[in-house]
Amino acid sequence: MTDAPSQAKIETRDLHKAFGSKQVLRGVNLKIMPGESLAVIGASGTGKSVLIKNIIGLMQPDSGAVLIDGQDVTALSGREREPITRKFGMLFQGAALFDSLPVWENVAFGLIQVQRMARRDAREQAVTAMVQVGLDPDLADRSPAELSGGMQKRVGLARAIATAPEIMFFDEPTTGLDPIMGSVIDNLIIKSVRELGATALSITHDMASARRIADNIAMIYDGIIVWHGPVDAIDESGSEVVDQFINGRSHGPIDMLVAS
Amino acid sequence: MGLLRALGRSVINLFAVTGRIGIFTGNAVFHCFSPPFFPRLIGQQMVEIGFYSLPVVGLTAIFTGMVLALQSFSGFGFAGESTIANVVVWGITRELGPVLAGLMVAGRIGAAMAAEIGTMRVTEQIDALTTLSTNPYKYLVAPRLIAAVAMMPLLVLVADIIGVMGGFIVSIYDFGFNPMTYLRSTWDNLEFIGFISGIVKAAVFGFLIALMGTYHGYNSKGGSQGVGQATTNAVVSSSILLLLFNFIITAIFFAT
Repeated sequence: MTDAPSQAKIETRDLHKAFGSKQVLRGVNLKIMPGESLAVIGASGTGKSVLIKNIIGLMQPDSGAVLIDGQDVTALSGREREPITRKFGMLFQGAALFDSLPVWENVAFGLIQVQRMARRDAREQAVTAMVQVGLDPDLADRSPAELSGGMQKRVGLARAIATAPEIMFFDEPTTGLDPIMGSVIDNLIIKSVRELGATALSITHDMASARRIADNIAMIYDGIIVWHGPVDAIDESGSEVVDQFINGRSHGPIDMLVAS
Repeated sequence: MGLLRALGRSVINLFAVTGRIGIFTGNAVFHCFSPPFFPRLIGQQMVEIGFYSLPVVGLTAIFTGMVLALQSFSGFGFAGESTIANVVVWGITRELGPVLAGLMVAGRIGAAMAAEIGTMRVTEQIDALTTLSTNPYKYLVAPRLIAAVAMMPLLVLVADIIGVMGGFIVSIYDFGFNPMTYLRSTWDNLEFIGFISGIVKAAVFGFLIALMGTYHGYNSKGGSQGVGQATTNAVVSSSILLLLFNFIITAIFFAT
């Protein structure tokens, strides 16, 4: 690795977040360079979602800072945050499509509401984005509720890429999909991130998916990053926690608090 | 000691909830007046609130007007057509028109708002709005508030007319009153301030209904059960606030 002086696209510094007495994040430090695809792995309930929500600004950290392109965005208010949010595109775990709007308006949402594009042009661009993720343009006028889970994920991806974001977030992109559809979505993610030249941050507990979509992997455990390195190195991480997780063993340092 | 602690906790809770509603209200009202606006969404909500509530509000009003005429007839006997017309037009325009229309709309619209926004909350659609650089207050809350405040007075105007018609129908066909005399005494007894107080109430009720519907939906959590809870809370809280504000507004208008 060359240590280029370029600035991190996303950086978190000593992020802390607690809910009541439950300390979820206890000092998360991450750096994601421009064009890098990082997957944060970890067991359910270890703070992956909380981490991503803090970075996007859906939650405020108790202490620590989030930097986007070197700018501290932690304390920005609604209006100041907008130029930052415009750099983002996000694919939600359950797709989070607006069920009051037809498919094309979901995809065109950012174009119409934020970029103030005329509805007709926005529709055209939405259909283009739909084709990019392998959706039949005939589905444009359907309601999201009529689509299968895999289709909804594709619409969610089309919506995320339609505004050509610089940073893409993927929240459990393959959860709830069969392995084949999961692989299809992963490939679409890789393709669209590459085409946009975007920086990507995914959170997942699906190791197969993480290995496919990420350049680097970071493992979160007990509120901190316990390991961070390239995908190829994860099998020789030397960390018992990582080994237990990637091999899916029920015994080890990670105590799932199930039968104990 | 336990009693004291429970009392203290509920008082603190009350203040916390009041504070949260206060902050929500401040945000919501601010976003009603700051661009961008969403005329298309305001229009949709106006149709939903104004037009589709007409049947239920109309039915409520006509039966209320009819029953008012029946009750005052059995109470006052043949005391006179003008007394019954007076009771009906006073009762409907000052109190029963706005209050009953308000309660019906609270059940219909407040519940629908809480359920819709609550579902959007638990399925992360509200978070999705934020990541698409769209403020949820502007997109979800403000259009509903604006539409409800605009449409409730119109609904109450319709309820007033239909309610008076209900009283008229019973008086003419049941009691055999003279239609012209009845209408004239209705007109003579209709006073401006009473009518206006009813319309002011309607606008305030519209605000309360939309506020409670959106507040409970926006803050719902915990899956479908949470959405159900939000819906119930929206209807109950908006109904109680509506009755409270009905008293306050009546006091402001008439208690001098």
